[in-house]
Amino acid sequence: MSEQASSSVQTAASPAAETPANARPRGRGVPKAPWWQTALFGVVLLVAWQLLSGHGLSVVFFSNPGQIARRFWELASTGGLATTIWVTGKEFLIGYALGVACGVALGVLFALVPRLAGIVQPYLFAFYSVPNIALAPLFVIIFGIGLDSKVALVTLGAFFFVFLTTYHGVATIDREFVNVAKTMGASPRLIITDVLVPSALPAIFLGMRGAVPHALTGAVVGEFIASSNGLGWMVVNAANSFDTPGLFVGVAVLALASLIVTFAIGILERIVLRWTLTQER
Amino acid sequence: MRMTATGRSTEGVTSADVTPPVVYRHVDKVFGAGVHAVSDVSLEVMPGEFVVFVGPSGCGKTTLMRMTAGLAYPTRGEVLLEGQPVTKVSSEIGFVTQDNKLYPWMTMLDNVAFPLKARGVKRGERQERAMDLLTLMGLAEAAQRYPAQVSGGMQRRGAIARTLIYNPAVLLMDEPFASLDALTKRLLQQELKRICDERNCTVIFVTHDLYEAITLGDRVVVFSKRPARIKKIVSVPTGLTQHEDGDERSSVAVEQLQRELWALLRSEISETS
Repeated sequence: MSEQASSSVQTAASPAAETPANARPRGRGVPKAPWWQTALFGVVLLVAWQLLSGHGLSVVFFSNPGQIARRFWELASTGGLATTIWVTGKEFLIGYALGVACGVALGVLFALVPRLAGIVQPYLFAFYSVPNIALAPLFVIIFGIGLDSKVALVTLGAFFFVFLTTYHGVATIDREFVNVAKTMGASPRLIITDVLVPSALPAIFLGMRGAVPHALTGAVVGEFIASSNGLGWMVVNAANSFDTPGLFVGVAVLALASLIVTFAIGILERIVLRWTLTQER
Repeated sequence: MRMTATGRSTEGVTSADVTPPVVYRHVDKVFGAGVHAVSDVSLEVMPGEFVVFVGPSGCGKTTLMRMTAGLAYPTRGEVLLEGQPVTKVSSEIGFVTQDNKLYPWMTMLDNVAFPLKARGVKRGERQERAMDLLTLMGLAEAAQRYPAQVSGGMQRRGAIARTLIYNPAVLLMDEPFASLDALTKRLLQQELKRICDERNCTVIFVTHDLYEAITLGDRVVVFSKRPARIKKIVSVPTGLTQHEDGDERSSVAVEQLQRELWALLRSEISETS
């Protein structure tokens, strides 16, 4: 289940949801290279970029690390980069929290009431299939050009991923876990809180991690369409004024933010899912 | 028949004297696809009795057991638990299977305490009682570990502890020791026997291991191949397997009984495709 890629982000050793005792050790997919090798690769790329800039690699279109670093410093010290980041950050945090909450709630609900799921599912998927970008203008019309429309887009972006994995996590729970709980006299409420939700947590966290880029996209797209600040606005504004270094700064900050948030969730996941440690034999 | 721990002989106790914990009356089960699993099974299990079901694989013993738990229902006939027909999943039974189904997200202690939580017992008390039972079964140090961190044998003991803690009327055990290594199996058999004798548990135990059946059971019910029909009920004489220093001593009588059971089963198995 957690072998499915959570976008292109590699979280720090996020544990697979193994069944206990009988689990066969599985490979984690991509082997971990020594950190210095990965770092060296990055450095080589940066150096090559810097050297080629102006000599075959257009400065205007591609900029170079030196320019970008200078621009970053400019923006950070005087250009209000912090405010810009916070604008997008606020949109993201509110929308993400909302999206996860709705995703988990509906995922659990639909998994427990399959008939409801059957009725609503086609509409949900139709909605999901529409690209964020196409929905953005609609949301701006409905919610206005302020914070709300961006939050709505973020919520939408986060919701679907979390909903899908939560639904799957709860729906595919081993029926015997529930049966055994019943034979022990557990009430339906206790079964939900102590059996269904904990068993679905790995799936929920998977959804949460995967939802981060989608959610962030919502904020950026919203800012593309209608905004006066924020990282998405910054990117679009920089592009329009041929401020390529500024554009790169925006993109880099977005990428970094996405990585940090996903990493943070991975840490939280490892704490909450202590029990998925494999056997110490 | 075997004497129970309280010295009461199970022989001669009829259903007129006391309510048998489990009664099967002409139980018949046909699954939707036309699979006839159980055929006209009638049986009474006495209080404190250890009944063992043996039969070829897939004959329907597990189905019968699930009907006792309320996880399945007969097509015809009825299953009575403590005198009442089984209409829903009963919490008066304890169910132990080959897979432990211990909850991987709970510690061993929390797993064993779970049935008490379901009954509204306060945290302090239920943890104490769970700890007592864990100690009784030799699992004290594993209390704070997760199931994935302990051995298969310990998990099995934990699963058994989890069913014992709420004193169910009947213990249903579906090949609980099948997937364990021979040594752990022997140990757990002895432990189970000791605990069941002490607590006077009523047990229905499914197994393929004939020696296990004789060691543990008061009566062995031999089923035919599918659809399961009671072929013969064999009583295990008291004291057949001696318990000196906690070890059984094989004897000629045990061999004979095993041969008798095997003869009954072999004809069923050779007819199966």
